Amino acid sequence: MNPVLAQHRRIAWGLGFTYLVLLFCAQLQTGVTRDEGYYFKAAHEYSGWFKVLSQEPTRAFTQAEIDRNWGYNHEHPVVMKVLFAGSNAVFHEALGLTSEVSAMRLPGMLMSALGVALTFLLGVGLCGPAVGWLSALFLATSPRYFYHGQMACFDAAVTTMWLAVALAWLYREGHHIRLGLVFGVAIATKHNVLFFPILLLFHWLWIHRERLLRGFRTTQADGADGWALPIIPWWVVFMGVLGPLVFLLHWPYLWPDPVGRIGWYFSFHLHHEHYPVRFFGESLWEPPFPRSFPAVMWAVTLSLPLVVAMIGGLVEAFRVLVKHLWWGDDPVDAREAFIVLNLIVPVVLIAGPSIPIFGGTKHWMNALPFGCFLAARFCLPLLVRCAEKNKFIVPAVIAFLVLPGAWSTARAHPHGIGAYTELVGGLRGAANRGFQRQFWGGASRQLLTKINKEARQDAYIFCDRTNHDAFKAYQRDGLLRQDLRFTLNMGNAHWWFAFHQPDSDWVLSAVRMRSDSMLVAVEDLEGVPMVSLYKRKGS
Amino acid sequence: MNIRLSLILGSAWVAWSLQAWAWSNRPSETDRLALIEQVAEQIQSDDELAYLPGWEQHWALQLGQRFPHHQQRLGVNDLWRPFHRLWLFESSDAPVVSSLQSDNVQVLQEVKYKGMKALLLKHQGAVRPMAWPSIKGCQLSAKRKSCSSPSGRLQTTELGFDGRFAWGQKITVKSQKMMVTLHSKPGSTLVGGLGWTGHGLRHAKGTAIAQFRGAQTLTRVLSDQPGLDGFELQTDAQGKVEITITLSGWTDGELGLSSGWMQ
Repeated sequence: MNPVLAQHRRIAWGLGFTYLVLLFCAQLQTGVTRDEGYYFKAAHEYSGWFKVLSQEPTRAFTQAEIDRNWGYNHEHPVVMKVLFAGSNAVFHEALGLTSEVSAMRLPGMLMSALGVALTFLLGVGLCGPAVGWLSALFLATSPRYFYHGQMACFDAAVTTMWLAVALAWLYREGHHIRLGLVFGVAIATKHNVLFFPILLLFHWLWIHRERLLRGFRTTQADGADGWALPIIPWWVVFMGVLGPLVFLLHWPYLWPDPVGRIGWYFSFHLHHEHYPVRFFGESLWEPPFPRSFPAVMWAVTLSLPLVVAMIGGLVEAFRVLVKHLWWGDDPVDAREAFIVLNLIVPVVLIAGPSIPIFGGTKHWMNALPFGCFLAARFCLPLLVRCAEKNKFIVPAVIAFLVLPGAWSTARAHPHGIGAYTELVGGLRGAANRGFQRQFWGGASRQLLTKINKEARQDAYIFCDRTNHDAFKAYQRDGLLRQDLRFTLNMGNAHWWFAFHQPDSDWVLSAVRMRSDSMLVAVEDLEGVPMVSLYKRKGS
Repeated sequence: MNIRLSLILGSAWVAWSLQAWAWSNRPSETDRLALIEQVAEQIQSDDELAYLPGWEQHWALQLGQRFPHHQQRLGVNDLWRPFHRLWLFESSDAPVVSSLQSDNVQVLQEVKYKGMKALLLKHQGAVRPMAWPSIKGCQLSAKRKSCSSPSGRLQTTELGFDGRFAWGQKITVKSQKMMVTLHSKPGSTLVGGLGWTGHGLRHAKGTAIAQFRGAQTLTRVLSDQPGLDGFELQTDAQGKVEITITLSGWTDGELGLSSGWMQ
C-alpha cells in the first residue's frame, strides 16, 4: 500500500467537505422518506434515555427504562440513530441553525461525504492520486449514491463503514485494535457488514489456496507436505472480539437479554418480508427473483463510462488473479483478490433468488466504491498518456468521464431514488421499459406548497406512501400546515396522493374511479410521474 | 491500449450524446399545452381523449383541466376498445399501438408540434365503446357495476396490469369454468382485449384458456404476461358472443376484459 501523505489527507478533507456542502444544499428540496420518518421517531425516543441518564443514571439502566426508550425500531442497531438525535439536539434544538429534518440528516451526509474522501484514499493507497481522484468522483457523481447520501438513513453510512473496514484491513499492520473497533462501529451501523467476515474467509481461502490444495496430495508427492492449517493472524482475533463487543456495548436495548435480542435481530433480517419491485415491466412480489437484478440495475443507474470502465477493471483484475492461479507462484495477488471480493460479494448476495431486492440499488451500494476504484484504475493508462502530453489535460479527461454521471444526478434531483442513466435511455427510457422509480414516499414534498395554499382548514390528506411520521416531520419543520390531518381512510380524505409504484397501482385506480376526485398536480421529472395529487371536488 | 482507449472514450462519447439527446427531447408543459390548444377548438363534446405513453400523467392533468368532462383512456391496453372519435396525444417516444394500425381505424387529422402530435382517430361504422357482459342472466350496464354467480363474478372497474391500466370488467373465476355472454345486434363485431390482470397473474396457480364463440370460434391460452391480448369476433345469428374461461385444475383466477361493439 502507498503511504497516505498529508497532502492526500488535505485533498480527502476538501473532497469530503465540498460533497457535504452539495448534499446539504440538495437535501433542502428532497422529501422525507418513510424510513426517515421511523428513524426521526426513534431518534426522539432514544434522546429520552440520555435525559434519564443525565438525571437519574441508576434508573437509566433498568430494563423498564431501556425497553421504554430503546424498544422502538429495534430491527436496526443505533449508531446512526443516536447520531441523528445528537445532531438534532445540537444543530436544531440548541443552536437553531437548521431545521429538524436537516439536522437529523446531517450525520448521514457526513458519512456519505466521508465515503467519497475514503474512496479517494483507497485509490491513493492502491494506485496513486490520479486513480484516487477519479474513483472518488465516479462515486460522488453516481446519482443514487448522491440521493442516499442526503438521507437520515443507513445505506450511504454503511457503504462508508464497509469501505472503512476494508481500508482498516488493508492498513492493518500494527493497527489491529483500530481494525477491530472500526469493524464494531460498522456492524453497529447496519447489518450488511456482518457479511464482511465471509468475504475475508473467501479471501483467506484464496491466498492460502496453494497450501490448502497441497494438503490433498499424498505426502510422498513432490512438494506435498500434508495438511497444515495456516496460522490464524491476530487481526482475526481483534475483529472477532472487538467487533461483537462494540456492537453489544453501543446498543442498550440488547443489554437486558443479549442472546435473545440479538437472536431476534438476526431472525428479523433472515426472514425479512418482500416489497414489490418493478423490473422490465413486471412486478416482482415474491421469490424467486432474477439473478441478474443487481447487475442490470447497476447497468441502468450508473453512468455509461463508469459501467464500461468497471467491467474493464474487473476483467483486468480477473486476468491478474488467473495468472497466479496454479501451482508454483506465490500468491502475490492478495490485494487484487480483496478488491474483487469487495465488489462481488455484496452483488452476489443480492443476486440470490430468495434475497429481498426492494430498495433500488441501496442494498449493495457498499460494493460501489470498489467498482469505482477498479473503473478508475482501468482508466489510468489513459490518464498517464494524457499527462505525458500535457498534465493540464488530465482534469479535462476526468471531467469528460464523470460529468455524464453528474448530469444524470442533477436531472434526477430531487428524485434521485428513481434516477436512470444512459443505457436505458434515462428517466423516460426507464419508464417506457417498466422500471420502478419510487418506493419511499418522499416525492410528495414538492406538492406540499399547493396543499398548504389550497386546502381548507382541517382537511384530511391521504398520503399513500408518505407515512405519518414523515407527515409530522413536515409539520414540525413548517413545510406543512399544522391544521392539516393525516388519514389512511381514502373515503374521508379531501386530498389524495397516489405514488407511481407497484404497490400503489391500486391507490391510483381507486382515486381515479371516484366520481368526486380530480387530478390537480403531478410531480414529475421530464414527464415521468413520481406522484400525483388529487383533490375532492368542491372541497 | 487501443481497445481500452476506445472503450473508455467511446462510452463517454456515447454517454454525452445520449444525455444531450434525452435532454433536448424532454417534453415541456408549455409545449403540451400549446399542442392541446391547437386542436382544442375541434374537440367535440363526445370525443374521447387518450395519451401515450400511458404513464405520462401530465397529459392526464392538462387534458383534464382543459376538458374536464371528457373521458380519458388510460394507455395502450385501453385502446383495444373501439371509439367514435378519439383524440390521441403522443409524446415523441410514444409506443406504436398495434390495435390502431387496423383498416377499421381512420386518421382524420394529424397535428404535430415540437416532436409531439395529436391524432384524431375514428373507427369506421357505428360503434359502442364499451360492451357490457352478462353472467347467468345478470347484465352489467352503465349503472349496474357488478354481477355474481356461483361460477364467478364480473365487475366494471379500472383494470391494472402492473403499471398499465384500462377500463373494463374484472372477471373473477370462482370455479374451473365460467361463461360470460355479450349481446348485441346480429352481425356486430366484438372488439377488445382479454388477459391476466397483474393481481390475477401473480396469484394464478396454472394456465387459463379462453374460448370465444360467435360466428366463429377462437381458442386461446392466456399468455404469461399481464395485459390484454386483442381479439375481434362477429356475433352468432342471435347477436351474441360467449366467452368461456377454463382454468386448468384450479379456481379463483382473475382476468380483465375490455371490449366494445362495432356494427
